[in-house]
Amino acid sequence: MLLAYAQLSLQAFASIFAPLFGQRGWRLSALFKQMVNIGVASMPTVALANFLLGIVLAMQGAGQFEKLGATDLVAALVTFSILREIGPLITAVIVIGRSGSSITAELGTMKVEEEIEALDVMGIDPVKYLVVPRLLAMLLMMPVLTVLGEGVGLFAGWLISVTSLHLDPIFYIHNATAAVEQKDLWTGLLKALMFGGVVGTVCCFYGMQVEGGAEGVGKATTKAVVTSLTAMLAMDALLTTLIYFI
Amino acid sequence: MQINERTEDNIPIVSIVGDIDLESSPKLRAFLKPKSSQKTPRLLLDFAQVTYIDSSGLATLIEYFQAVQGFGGKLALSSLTPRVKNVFEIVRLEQIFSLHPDIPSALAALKA
Amino acid sequence: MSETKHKSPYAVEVRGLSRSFGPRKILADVSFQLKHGEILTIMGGSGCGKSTLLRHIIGSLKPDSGEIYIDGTETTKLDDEEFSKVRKRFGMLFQTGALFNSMTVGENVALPILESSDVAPHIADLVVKLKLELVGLTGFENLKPAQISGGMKKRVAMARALALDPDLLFCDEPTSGLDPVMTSVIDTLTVDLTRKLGMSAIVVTHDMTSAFRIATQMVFLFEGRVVATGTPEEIKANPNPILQQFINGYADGPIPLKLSKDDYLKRLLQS
Repeated sequence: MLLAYAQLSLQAFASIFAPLFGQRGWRLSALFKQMVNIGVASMPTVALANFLLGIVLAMQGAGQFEKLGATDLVAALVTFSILREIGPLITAVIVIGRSGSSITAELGTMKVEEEIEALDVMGIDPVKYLVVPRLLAMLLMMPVLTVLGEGVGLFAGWLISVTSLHLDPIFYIHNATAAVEQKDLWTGLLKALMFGGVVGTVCCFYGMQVEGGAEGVGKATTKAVVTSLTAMLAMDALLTTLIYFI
Repeated sequence: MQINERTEDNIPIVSIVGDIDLESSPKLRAFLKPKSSQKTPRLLLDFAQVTYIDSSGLATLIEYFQAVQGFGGKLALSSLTPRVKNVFEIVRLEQIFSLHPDIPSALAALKA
Repeated sequence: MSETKHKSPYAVEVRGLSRSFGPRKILADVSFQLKHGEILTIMGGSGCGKSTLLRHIIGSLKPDSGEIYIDGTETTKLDDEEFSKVRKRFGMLFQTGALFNSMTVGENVALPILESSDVAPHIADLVVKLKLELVGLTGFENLKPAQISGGMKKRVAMARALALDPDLLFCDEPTSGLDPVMTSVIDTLTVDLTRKLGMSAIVVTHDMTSAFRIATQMVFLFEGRVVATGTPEEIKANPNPILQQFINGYADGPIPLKLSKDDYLKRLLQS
């Protein structure tokens, strides 16, 4: 199982670079289609989720910091946690639920309906034709969505602090920028990129593995979502350890 | 695939040698493109040495035929081997193209 | 189907092919040959191993033992890359059609052309029109598979199988779900392509009318074994009772469709 997963992932990553070595490659049009499917279509949900979490963070923070008489620290808390952790994490969760599951279900249905076997027989490599555009779109769109989500989340935090907590709008921004460094932004995006790779390979893998009709598609989709979430969180823990504690 | 061209009575006679398949049909298409943009009024394609033609080859000929119809020109094909003629017949293209057993009869049809 | 010399007198040769799934033996020592330019039908009841046999020939499954030669090349030991070269000369019509549901009919037929060559999209479009005309579906280019009937899907799948002018065509139940007229159209097309263009074909079917109309060679499978092979005349004259029951479509005979009275009672009373 793990071996098959590793094999598919390696093959997919190798195929991404195949055009550089003069081999027949994947199609740009297929990539764009997947970028729209996976990325553009997820934007509203990603934005909404981050907006709500920005508000929640600001309010929870305010409740705690008020006891210390340090509501100013809300700006630092919101910015710091969104850039480093919440932004990439919640974006990945949304993408797994929306796009990861649909990748598995779509590939799984194609497998069940013999479409993948048909590709094979036509001499078209299913990995190049189906997996690569989806994986690449995940790798590219996860950071893009994360940036969007973080922007919306930060704005939500600022908005709630200014309107409900009566913090000074300019002073908030000053506090916020002082609390973080550029590294926090980059590590957040690195996480997003890695999440994209994990989610893309896991969901494609489960899709290509489907057997046993509609029931099989359902089971594989559940497995893909659960495995993606777990693997994503494990990856998060690992990266946080590597970046901030070693 | 090779393409040789000569002119007889102001009519270009194009002899194609070899297989017209997925690999070589783009070459034939590139050769025919200027013919249609120059609105060559009459063109004879000599198929005597065509060993094989696939669907992409047929499609290339249809594309040129469309262009010829557009500017009121004429196209004739001559000397198809039975095997190549069969390919035309399977998709009933012998009814659409003007096919001739040899070059003189094709030339006569073009001049008519 | 270019005029290259054939490497072997046989387009397809199967030698001693066996395959089990768990304890069930699906194919047992299956052997037959198909000469170039001929049509071989593989016949037999549902679950006799016909489709499994075809899947082995097209390389979707690997046998436990035995060899398969495609124009002299042993394919069971080829790796994916080498096999994909052999497959370039295949056309395959799947039992369910296996059309790509996300694409239109036209895109389905164009796919093998665009993916395996550098021809211009306009040329591919024209090839699509030629192929759809062959199967009587001119003008259906822009519909999605979900918008057409099962029989039409099958014909689109046939058009797609023929998109690259294959040397070798494999059909899994090409006429099931087609009306008698369309069955005849597909049969005539298959025969024309072999007679006129030298294509070879293996057709899996249990439609006896169709099989006797197109076949030059027949293989009859029963419980994974080859029971009879021969020309249609030889098969008709073969006295094997299993074969006769099948080609004549009798409900009762040596094919154990029903349990004996004692066995039936035993089964019913088993808890």
